[in-house]
Amino acid sequence: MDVNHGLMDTIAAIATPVGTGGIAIVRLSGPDAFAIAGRMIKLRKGTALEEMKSWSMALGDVLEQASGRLIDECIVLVMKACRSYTGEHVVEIQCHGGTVVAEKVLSLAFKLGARPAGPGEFTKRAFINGRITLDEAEAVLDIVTSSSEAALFQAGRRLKGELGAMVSRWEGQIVDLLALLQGAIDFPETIEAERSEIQGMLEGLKNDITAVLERAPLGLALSQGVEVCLVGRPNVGKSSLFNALLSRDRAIVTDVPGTTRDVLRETTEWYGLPVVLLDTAGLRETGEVVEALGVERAQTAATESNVILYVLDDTQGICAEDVKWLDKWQGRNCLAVVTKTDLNKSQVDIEQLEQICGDSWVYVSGATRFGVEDLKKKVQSMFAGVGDPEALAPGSARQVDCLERALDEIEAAIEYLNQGWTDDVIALALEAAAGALMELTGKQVSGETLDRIFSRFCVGK
Amino acid sequence: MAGNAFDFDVLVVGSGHAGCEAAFAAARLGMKTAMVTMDARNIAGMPCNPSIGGPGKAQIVAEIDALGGEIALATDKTAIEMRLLNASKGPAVQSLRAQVDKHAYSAYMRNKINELGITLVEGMVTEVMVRHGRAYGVALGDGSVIRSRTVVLCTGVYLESRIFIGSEVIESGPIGEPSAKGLSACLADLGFQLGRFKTGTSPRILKSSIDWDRLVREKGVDKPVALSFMSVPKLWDKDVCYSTYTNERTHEVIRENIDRAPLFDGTIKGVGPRYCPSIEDKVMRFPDRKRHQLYFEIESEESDDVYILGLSTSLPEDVQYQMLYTIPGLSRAKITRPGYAIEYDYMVPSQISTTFEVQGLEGLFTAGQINGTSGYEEAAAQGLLAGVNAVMKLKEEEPLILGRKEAYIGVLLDDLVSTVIEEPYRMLTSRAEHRLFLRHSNADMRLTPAGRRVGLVSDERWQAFCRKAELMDKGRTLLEHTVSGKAVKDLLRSPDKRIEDFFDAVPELGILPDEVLSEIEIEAKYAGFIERQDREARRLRRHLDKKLPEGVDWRRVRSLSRETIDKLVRYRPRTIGKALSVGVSPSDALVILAMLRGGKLGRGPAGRKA
Repeated sequence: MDVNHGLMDTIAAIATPVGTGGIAIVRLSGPDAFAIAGRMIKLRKGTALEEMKSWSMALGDVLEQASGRLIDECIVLVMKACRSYTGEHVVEIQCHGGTVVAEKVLSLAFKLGARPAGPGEFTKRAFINGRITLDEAEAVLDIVTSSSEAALFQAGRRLKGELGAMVSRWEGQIVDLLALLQGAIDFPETIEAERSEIQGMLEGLKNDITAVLERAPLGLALSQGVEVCLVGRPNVGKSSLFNALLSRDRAIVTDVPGTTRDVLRETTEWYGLPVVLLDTAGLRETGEVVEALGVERAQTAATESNVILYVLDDTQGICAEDVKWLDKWQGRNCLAVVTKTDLNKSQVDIEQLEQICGDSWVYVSGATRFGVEDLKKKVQSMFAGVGDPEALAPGSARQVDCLERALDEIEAAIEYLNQGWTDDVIALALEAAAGALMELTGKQVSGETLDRIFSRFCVGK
Repeated sequence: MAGNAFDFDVLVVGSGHAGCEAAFAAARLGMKTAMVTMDARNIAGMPCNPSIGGPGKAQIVAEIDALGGEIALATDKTAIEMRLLNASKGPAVQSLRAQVDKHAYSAYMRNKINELGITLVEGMVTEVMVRHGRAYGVALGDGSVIRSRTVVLCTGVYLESRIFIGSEVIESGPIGEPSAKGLSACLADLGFQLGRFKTGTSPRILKSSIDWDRLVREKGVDKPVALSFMSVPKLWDKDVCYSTYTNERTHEVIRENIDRAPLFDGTIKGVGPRYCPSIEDKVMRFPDRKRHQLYFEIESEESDDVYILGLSTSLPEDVQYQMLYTIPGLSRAKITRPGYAIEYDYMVPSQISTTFEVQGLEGLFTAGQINGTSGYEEAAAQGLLAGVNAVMKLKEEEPLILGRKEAYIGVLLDDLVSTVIEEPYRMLTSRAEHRLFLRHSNADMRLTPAGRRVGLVSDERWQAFCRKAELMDKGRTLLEHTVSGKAVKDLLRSPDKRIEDFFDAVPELGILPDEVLSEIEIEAKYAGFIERQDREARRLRRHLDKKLPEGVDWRRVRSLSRETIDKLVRYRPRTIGKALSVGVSPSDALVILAMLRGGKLGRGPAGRKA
């Protein structure tokens, strides 16, 4: 075995700290970094990403593979092997806003074959490839120290709280099943594996993991920032409210309808809730190409956000257009926000508003900051009482990736059972499922299974 | 040293399963070979159950056979019954287990010793003779010295062994045989680390004292089978194996007398295997189990002893009688040999290299239980490799080393040399990450070429192998035929499709021999899964398999912690993964990785240390 070619895979992670700054960087390192980035990103200048020179930057669009839908525009920085931090091919993708977009970009990289980087793994690679000194590496690696192989090479951030307990329980159940199947193979006289029992346990696991994965978007939002999106017709005061909610002049505010074109993102915090606040172009039919693109993005941003703040202008009242949008977003954490109340025009018919969205509405004024804090509290209270977000739902794309792989393997095991495959094949899928969960708990499949066989079953001559 | 003063090329210490394969291999490769044993009547004995094979073990037996070893042929010749375990659990884990006539087996092996011209010497080896870091022979208890260019230690459970029956502690080997004294001390003086293991066996009872009609007869395999690729498969279903269960009364007897069990009162210090617990262990650890199954196996047509599988014990003989009397059919049982526990020395196996040569002492090889393993099959496999590699060393040819992906024997070797063995090591299918590929049925395709290369495979076996390989290739080509647009090999991937279903579409298939048909069918059916298992194994081992060079003087390597250096020196891990598993810290493992990368880890100027 050639010792120099062990690091064959490509790793990816978000390189910027959670929840800060206007830019998040997704970093890929490894032999396939260019190929993976090339499939995710279309450069504006039309050339292929792989052809970029080392240490050069370019503007591009991150596109979702399946739909071709735009995820974000980005700046790509390309560094070729030997001349990068890790000594391998490195691509850094600078995305907008906090970590929400970055997580989406990261999941895409995983789908295309990158592997979640373990803790300290970029540093480790840098060290192994001779880019940084031992002292520098050890400083980073001290925090990763653990005696198990799995912990060194796979384990990442451990899960906390209830979710952590749940994952450990699932892992325990799968190892039990493996112990049963493999125990029955190694000690056929004393252990018998009932297929119906195995099937029942697998179905249970499948349901449990599916349920938790359904909560994944919430978990991601809660740990990396709840996306709150301001939408409404042009010139209703979205940008003033955006600035008021951020307590600074971030967005340009004018009387000219259609001032905001692209989606603006800012991270902030409302009473302890991490928030990514989005300002969008006003919703209207327009012949202008750039504005039309902005309107399209506004709708997408609203649809994908966790909370929609639908802004109504108290000087204009509710029009048919507003009713259409409010109806569309009912039941989707949509709050109607009546602005410009300082002007005392009271054009918004509250009775009509309550018919559409019940009590999900508030009065504010961007100019006087009236009601702004109440609005923040109201949004915060939607997510209050959930407890430690990371404890309940997977809080990172890496964790989601592990759980999804485990679920895939469990579904495969169920399928093999139904198709009548033999026990050795079912064990194969279960081993992979346990392996995926153990990336979250940092154990090793083989040792665990043997220990379990001996502790659970009375075997031997 | 004078090269012409040797009595032998290869001297094997011990006449058990490891010793036999080692000596046979050496003799077959043209070496002047000696076998030293404490008791020349005790060749290839079976002090525990009279059976060979079973999950993981039958695969090893087939591998030894494919390489040109003896165990499978001997078993096929002397078996009295065979059973097929895991018949429905997949072709890779299906395993034959033979119940063997132990006296006939021993006689067969003794004949082979004569046939191959091996010099059998009776005596107790007390010392390995060493000069300039090289073994050159052994000294016997009477002071005589036998000079040999290489020495293979296959001492089994005899090193400083003691047996326990209740409070009785006897300095002895397996009942009726002596303990080997002195050799342990010699090995320790040479600087090797020894450990102590424990194992045990069940009482033997007199055939005529059992009421057989109260037991349930166990049936043999219902189709012709054989362990060796060179044997003609035959039907085995004789009236030789019965079963029954212990009951609450049996367990009561054990609980009442547990204070008289040396396993529980602290007398026995050695570590016993978890997969082979004594009945007192089972009853105490699993109090909810109402019964434990027992099998009664007739040991030989020439003896009246019956082996009881499931009743290993070191309780006093009177308690063993009380226990037996509670079991239906055994109310007048007569013990011919009580069950006992045995404690013995082993050499920590991470001290051997991948050729089974002891690191730091050239010309000395170890195989079998001395390496901390358990089982006749595991011992035989090591004996074969140690014997072959002793010869390869003398001939200055490439050694025979098997990897985890090639053979169960490779898994055994890798685990031995590079992990910390905490209990007597037994092969289990769960240990082999490539188990879908490591089948009994393809052991010949996997290993016979390697056996041929070293010279152990006879012309007859080689011709049979080549014929089969050719037919397999032909069969694989036939599976490329399409049926309604799809290749037969792809259609076979469905679990309910059999190769017979395609005889009409591809008539040439029908004329291939059964063993070829079933093999190409398995290959096609499991192809996807085998690839996947491969990928998974590679993924897991990606970093871990990075090799550490041998012979590095770790003490000269800067920036490693003292603790790490101690571990590297003591366990001599072969790979990064193994370094981690013996407790080298991850950050030190990274230092080592970085040095490998930078080419800074060569052999130290001091070279190999003893």
